[in-house]
Amino acid sequence: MFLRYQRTGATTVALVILITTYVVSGFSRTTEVRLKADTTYAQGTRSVAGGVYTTEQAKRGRGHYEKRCVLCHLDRGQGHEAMPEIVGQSLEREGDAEAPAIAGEGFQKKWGGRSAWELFSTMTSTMPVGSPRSLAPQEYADVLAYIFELNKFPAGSQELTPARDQLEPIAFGK
Amino acid sequence: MNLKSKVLASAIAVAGCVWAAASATTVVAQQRGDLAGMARMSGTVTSPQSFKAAQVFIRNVDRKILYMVFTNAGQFRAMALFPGNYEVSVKARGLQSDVQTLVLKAGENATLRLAMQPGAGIIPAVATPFVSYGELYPPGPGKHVAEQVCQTCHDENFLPARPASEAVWRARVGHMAGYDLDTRDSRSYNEGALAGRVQWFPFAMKDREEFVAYAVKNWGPDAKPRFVRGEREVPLDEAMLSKAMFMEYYLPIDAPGTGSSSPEFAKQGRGIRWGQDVRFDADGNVWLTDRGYPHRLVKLNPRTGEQKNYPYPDGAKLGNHDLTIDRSGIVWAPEHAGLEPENGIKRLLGFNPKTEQWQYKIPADPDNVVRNPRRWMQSMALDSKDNLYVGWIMGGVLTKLDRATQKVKVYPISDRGAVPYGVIADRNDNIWIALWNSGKIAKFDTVNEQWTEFAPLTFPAHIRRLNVDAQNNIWAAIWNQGRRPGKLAKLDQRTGRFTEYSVPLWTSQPYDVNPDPEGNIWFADSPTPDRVALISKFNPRTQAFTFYPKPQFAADSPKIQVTKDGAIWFSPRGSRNEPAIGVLYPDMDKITTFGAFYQYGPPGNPWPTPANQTAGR
Repeated sequence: MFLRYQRTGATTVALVILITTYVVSGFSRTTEVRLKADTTYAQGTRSVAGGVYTTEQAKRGRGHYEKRCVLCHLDRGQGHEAMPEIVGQSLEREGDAEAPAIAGEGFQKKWGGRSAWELFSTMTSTMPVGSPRSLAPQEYADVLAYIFELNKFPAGSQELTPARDQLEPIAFGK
Repeated sequence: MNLKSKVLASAIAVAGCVWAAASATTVVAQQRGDLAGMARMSGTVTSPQSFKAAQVFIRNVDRKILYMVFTNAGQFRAMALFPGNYEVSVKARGLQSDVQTLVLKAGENATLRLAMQPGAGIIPAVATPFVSYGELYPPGPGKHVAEQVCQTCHDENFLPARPASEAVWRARVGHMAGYDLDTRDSRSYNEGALAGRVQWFPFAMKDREEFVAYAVKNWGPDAKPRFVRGEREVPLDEAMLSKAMFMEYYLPIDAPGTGSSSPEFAKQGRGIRWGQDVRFDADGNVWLTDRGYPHRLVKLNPRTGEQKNYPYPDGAKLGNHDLTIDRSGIVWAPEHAGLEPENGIKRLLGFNPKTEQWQYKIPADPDNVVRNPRRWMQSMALDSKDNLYVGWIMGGVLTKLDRATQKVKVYPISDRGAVPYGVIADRNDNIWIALWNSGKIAKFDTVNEQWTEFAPLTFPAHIRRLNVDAQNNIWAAIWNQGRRPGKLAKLDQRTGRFTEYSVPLWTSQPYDVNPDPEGNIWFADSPTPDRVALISKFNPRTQAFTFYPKPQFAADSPKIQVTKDGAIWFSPRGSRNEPAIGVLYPDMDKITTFGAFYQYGPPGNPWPTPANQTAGR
């Protein structure tokens, strides 16, 4: 309980700093920063390249991934195009639909500069196909850690939590 | 007159009678009723190579109607052709002709000469290579799981067409075993389908480990997708086929940006029109469920080719599948898998063709008997009082709509993890259900509200559809059995005995079954990459099978309906580019109308509808 209080307190302080920074620097500056998001981050924002998850968390995430995600996104997150229709087989087969890559250059380009919260929200609201929100929030955070690992972002000393105030300042990209 | 002369005279007389009868039949068929004014066609097909039962495609480009007939010794004929502009071509295995165009006038009898040359022919080209079964399934531990478990439902091409890593194969096994279902609801009725079957199948942990190792070794991440090369061709009776004529009335494809290709729906249902189930109304029209998005009911007047579409209510996206038509003409179409409604409520929809309105929208599980929030209705049957029974393929229950009280009651099905597929009513008002999950057949006694389960001789198995004949026997089609043949199973209700008949095809996948007025059992057989989709006939008296290759090689047909004249209606569901409503006339000389009528009217039972609407128990 004490640890949890400590973490919440630290998060509140970070949030106050973030809001103050936003107000002081003005909206136009924030917009400019967003446009340059792949290389520069707003004050208070940190890059996923700085180590935002732990090795142990990514390992847990891999366990969830191999149960819930690998069927479509495959085992290195490479995804696949829609399977060609096979004569005599159903048009509705699960796992045959297109699954975009969640690792690699294309994925990093698509998500570059966007926040970890945005990625987390997209995951929880759409994945797995047919049963979104069917993992626990912490399990989604673990999968997110594994996705960071697949994209070769280094591990750090703190775990990702599913809290918006922790994920929003984390920008995707190197 | 000596004996020799008498024999000769008799032979001449008989031949004369046969000729006169044949001529009369042809004349009558040409001139009777709504076929008056139609044209005919006959011709010769040549080729540098020998061929058998080549398929002649005769397309009416004005009405978007296809006729297809077969050659017999290089000759063909077609009849009852709507006047208009035509494109004609012919294909056989490895052979095809150019397209000839012509205009047919009312009453005209055109003669054509078509020349085939080596070409792609009837089998669509695929990039995936074909290899022998033994090459794809070499001996080794784990093979028994592929053959005795996976292939019970999946055909032999399913696994080798999807090479993958060990992690993916484990996830696939996990999907079938339902590894995840401790933390969430299942997403579909196939997820966890093997969880309850481990007592029947070799699917213990050791089996699963052996299977994963076998799959990675033979269909691993570095393997290319491959198909099994069929080892036997479809046996074709050219003389029988030359009497037959197929027709397909194409569904108009939506203009770009509209309907199934509109921004709202382009990514749903693969952005195509998708015919599923056909039924006849009392006026000879054919109704179809179009499962594409937006969902539509299609009404076809086969006498003119005119089609009319009726979108489903509330956005036409909440799921559809089967339909049935009751004795008052209401078209019933329950909600199946679609874009799931926010409230999770699925409804029985009833369309009134007279007002062209959706007259009924009845919540089908008002007391939430089905606990999984994902729930789909599928097949229906009507008893003698027009009470409606609907199976929940995702839900494992049977809903009854009592027409007198308009009340709904929901009955859980007795089998563990029940996945009710086809649903039919017998002439004693019992409801019979094909259980996809176990391969059993369930009987629901609607008076005592009691279940009885029947297991066919082939068990465990995979049954999708079933039907009842005029003698009240229950017929079911036992789906693909891998290298074991598909089968037709007959349950004699008087003795309780099953009899099974093996379909003499390589990888038979019999789907729907339906009796005709002469007692033959017709069934649709799904295609493989190198074996054509078929409509097939089984004659229980002679135990002979006859196979009719469909016009669209690769398009399966889940449901068939038979008219009082013995015409077999279907939709080529698997069609990507030519969705349609189709019909097979096994003997074109017997066509008197294109109208589609049940022998005893809707809902299509092979016995008279009781005049006083009382059960015949």
